[in-house]
Amino acid sequence: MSEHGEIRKLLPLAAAGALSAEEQRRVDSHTATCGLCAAELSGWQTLTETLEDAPTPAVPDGLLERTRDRVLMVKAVAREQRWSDAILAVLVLFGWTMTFVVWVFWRLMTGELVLDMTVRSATIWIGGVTSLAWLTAGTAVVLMASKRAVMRRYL
Amino acid sequence: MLCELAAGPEVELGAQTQIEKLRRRDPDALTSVISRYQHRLYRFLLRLVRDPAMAQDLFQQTWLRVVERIGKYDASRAFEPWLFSVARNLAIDHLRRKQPESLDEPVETGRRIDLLAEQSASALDNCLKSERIARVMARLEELPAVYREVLTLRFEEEMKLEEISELTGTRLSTVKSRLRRALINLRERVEG
Repeated sequence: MSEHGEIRKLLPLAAAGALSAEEQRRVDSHTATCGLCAAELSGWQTLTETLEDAPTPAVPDGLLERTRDRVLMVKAVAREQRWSDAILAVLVLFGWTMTFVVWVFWRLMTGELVLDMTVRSATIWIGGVTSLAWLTAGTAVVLMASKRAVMRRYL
Repeated sequence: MLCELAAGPEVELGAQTQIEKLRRRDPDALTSVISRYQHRLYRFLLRLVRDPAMAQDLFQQTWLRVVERIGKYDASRAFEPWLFSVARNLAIDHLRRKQPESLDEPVETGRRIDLLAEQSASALDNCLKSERIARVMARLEELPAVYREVLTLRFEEEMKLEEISELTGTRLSTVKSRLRRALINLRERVEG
């Protein structure tokens, strides 16, 4: 490609101020003597200057306040969710602990040894009480998840 | 960006302080930081998605994401490229989800470019200038997202090519050729 052709390819980037020092020097040197390329460069400069002069679109009224409120609300909800999670974890742990404490306590109160139990009574205790604890915890988890889904939809 | 640079180092220092406060989860810093970047961020998003309602939603999502991930922001680097990259990722997700438009490189059309010989120097300069800006901006909206992005980052955000390269995660040579093709494409439409 001729020098003229190569320079013409560089003109859009020259107008955009995106050439290396060496490329810019070549363009400057060429356009100083080539009227056609100088006119072409001027056309590109008009375009880039127009882009630079374009007014910034106005930010809609209240966008800042709405954004701030939404961010603060999401943070508050996240904080509340963390608390809910912690409370749920404590309740589940408490439920499990009570299951075993009551079992041991009951066996001692009825005068039976803790480890001296029939398969039937062990099944009732472990199956019944464990199921109840899991059911309660499961219900709590489902309720909290559904609450979160609703909150997420609105935020 | 120009206004910020012209305002001097004190303003920059103030901005850094506010961002540092935001990093420490200070709620008062939030309004100040949003206020500082709202015009440029909204403009960038509007140029990318072209829909004011969606630009507003993405604007809000951007700040939610910023607050959520501010702990991961490396304070030794500039805040603006990080902020714009967060916004850009959200805009890309939106464009990919909602429209058959992407930020992938479009195919070259190879059309010939004619000369733009516009030399206005009359009393109607302002009027003509406004008209020209309106025409160019209308044509800009017709360009593929990848071209709108590079043009707004270069000419409205006044970012250097290296900054654009970092923000978009593309090579410098790609940014350069993308910018060139974007200008050629735009000029064809303006003159067409």
